[in-house]
Amino acid sequence: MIEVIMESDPLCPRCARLEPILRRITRELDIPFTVKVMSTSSVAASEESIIQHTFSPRWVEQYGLPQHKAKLYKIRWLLEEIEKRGIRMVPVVRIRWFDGARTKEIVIRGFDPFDENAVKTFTRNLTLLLTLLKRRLQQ
Amino acid sequence: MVYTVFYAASEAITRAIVYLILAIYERLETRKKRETKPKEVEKKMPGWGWFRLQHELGSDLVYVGRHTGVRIIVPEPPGGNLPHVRAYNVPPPTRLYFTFSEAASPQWFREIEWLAEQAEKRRRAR
Repeated sequence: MIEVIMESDPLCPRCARLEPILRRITRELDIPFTVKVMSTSSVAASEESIIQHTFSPRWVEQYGLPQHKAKLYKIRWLLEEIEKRGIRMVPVVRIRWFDGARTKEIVIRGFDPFDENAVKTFTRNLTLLLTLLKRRLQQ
Repeated sequence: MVYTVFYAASEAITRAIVYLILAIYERLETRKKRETKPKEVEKKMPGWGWFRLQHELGSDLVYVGRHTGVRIIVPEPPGGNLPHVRAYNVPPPTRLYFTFSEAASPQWFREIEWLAEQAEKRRRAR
């Protein structure tokens, strides 16, 4: 059981460029693909994005690497502002699968459609990852 | 008479050497068994029945039907667990976070493996 979810905004140009790529990959591999609208135009404005809580000082203090914690004193004010205003980031790609015991997710934040090499490598990596996961779950 | 003495002596020495070799071998085997810990096998989630899902606002009890797969969601009271329901506590999902630049790098799969190992270590330490 594996699925791909994309959190997007209808007015976001990066989401518009990423969606056809994900649709093509998931169609080729026959994996369910869903687009979830996470913005003020979403059905439930109170729904939180999966990455919203990662933009907080608490997250960096608990899960950050030492180099992230060292820079926290500089950007603490920014993270607190993001947390207070509930600013959301799109697009977010979530790859979810269930291995029989627990659900696992890989969450990828952001997309840069202007870097062609990065887009090619990203597409290749994503296809390979989904193929490997699907093969492993079918075993 | 001398022949029997030599025979008995050589037999005793051979027995002692063989006994020593077997004792060393057994000692090594028991030490190996003691050092290798049994593998932790995670229990598989049942396919139907009562499940307890934790979320920010509390917990929900979900019943999944055995043959129909029907889902009935019952919000749990904030006081505690319902005593007559034995539910399977669904473990929280394991999430690995990456940025687009990390996912677009050739070393992404190595980073996934490393991060998954760290998540597993943290889970076991809890």
